[in-house]
Amino acid sequence: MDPKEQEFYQRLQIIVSVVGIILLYFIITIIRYQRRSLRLHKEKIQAEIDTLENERKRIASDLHDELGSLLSAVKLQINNLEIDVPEDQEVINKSSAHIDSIIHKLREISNNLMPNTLVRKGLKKAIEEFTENSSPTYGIQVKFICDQDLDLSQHKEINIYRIIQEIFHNTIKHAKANVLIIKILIEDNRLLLMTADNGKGFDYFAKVKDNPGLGLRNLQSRAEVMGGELTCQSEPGKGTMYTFEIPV
Amino acid sequence: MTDTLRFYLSLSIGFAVIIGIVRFRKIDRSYYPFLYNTGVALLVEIISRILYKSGYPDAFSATLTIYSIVDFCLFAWLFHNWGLFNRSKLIFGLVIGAFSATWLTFVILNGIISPDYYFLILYSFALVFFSVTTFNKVVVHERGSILRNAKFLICLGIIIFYTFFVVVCATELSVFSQHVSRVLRRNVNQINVYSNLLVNLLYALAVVWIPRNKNFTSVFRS
Repeated sequence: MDPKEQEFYQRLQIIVSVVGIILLYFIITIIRYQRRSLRLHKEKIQAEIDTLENERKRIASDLHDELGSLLSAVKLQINNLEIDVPEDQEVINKSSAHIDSIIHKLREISNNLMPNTLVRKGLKKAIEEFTENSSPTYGIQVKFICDQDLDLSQHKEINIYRIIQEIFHNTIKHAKANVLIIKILIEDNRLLLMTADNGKGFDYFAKVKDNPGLGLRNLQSRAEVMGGELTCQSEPGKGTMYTFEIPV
Repeated sequence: MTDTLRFYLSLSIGFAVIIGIVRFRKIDRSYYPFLYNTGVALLVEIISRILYKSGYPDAFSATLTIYSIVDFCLFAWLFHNWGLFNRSKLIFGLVIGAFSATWLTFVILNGIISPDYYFLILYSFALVFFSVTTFNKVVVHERGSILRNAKFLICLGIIIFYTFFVVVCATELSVFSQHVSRVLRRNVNQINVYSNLLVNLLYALAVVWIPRNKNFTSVFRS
């Protein structure tokens, strides 16, 4: 190269170096901000979910322990009344039956808020119980497949249980399906939760773009706090399939 | 830097191709255009070397000209799969059509054997813009480690490579019309060789992190 070309080449090298440094700085900054934003986002969701779960626990406990026992006491008292008039006795019997039904409903609500089985016997039993109890009520056939023992932290168990509850309610409310399959398996240090229904389906990308709705956001948030990933496959008329990949 | 060393460095795209072949059936199908692109890039590197060594410089230039439009179409297909054009087949078709027409016009005007620097700069800018848009989306929506995100790594690779490629093409366009020494041409092209090496390694890493295909039906079969 002659001196002129040498000078030109040096200038070009400087330009390339400047472009390279700007690119490098841009990339490092982006990665740092993304990490910080991710951490803050996760902390925020975790705090929201913790508050929600604690509140549910408190309401469940209040309903079951305080209102439940109070109603039982009222029932005992009215049953102990000595009434000679048959019409009044009939009113008492009816009231007693109503109180029984209120107590039953309270237990159901309390169990939905914080299932005892989940706390005592673990996720697998809790899902089995939930699907067995809910299927006849809503007229939907639910098939739960899980051949492995699930040894998970309580935090993950609660989140997965809530995800299944949410999907179940979405399937009844929006999908209008009559079959729901839920499968859980653990492979390669990850838990795979897969659900499929035969409902009316929806355009996932359009839905997410317009307004994802509370249900979908809830599913996404719970997957995120567990460090997992949610995938949804759905098309109008072809049902809906969700997959959650959760590290264990 | 000798031509042989330059050729060996360009073969670094082979890492991405090998990993891609191994993972082909397991990965998300939306990434297939990227794997096809790495395969085509490797093929072009080998064919160019053979043609260059065999003393067919015209065929060598023609290969590169054809590769430029193939490269653009495969990347545009990849971005379409990622939802860049609002998942609209019409917009995707229009983008492909517009660039193909531009490429064809340049080929008709300049011939297939001379490098169309204007087209190279144009499609490089387009790919950088597509990548920056996707890159921003990934940064905002990614909830895991961004360095393990294949989309992020691929976009990063495209931004790095095509930014330097534009610098080199613009230099060649403005300077090489004058009489310059062979050494200067070689040195300017070295910038592409280094950025290509860096990006090929990034692509290999990206192929490792391409998410697995969610095959629902197979999961429910058991």
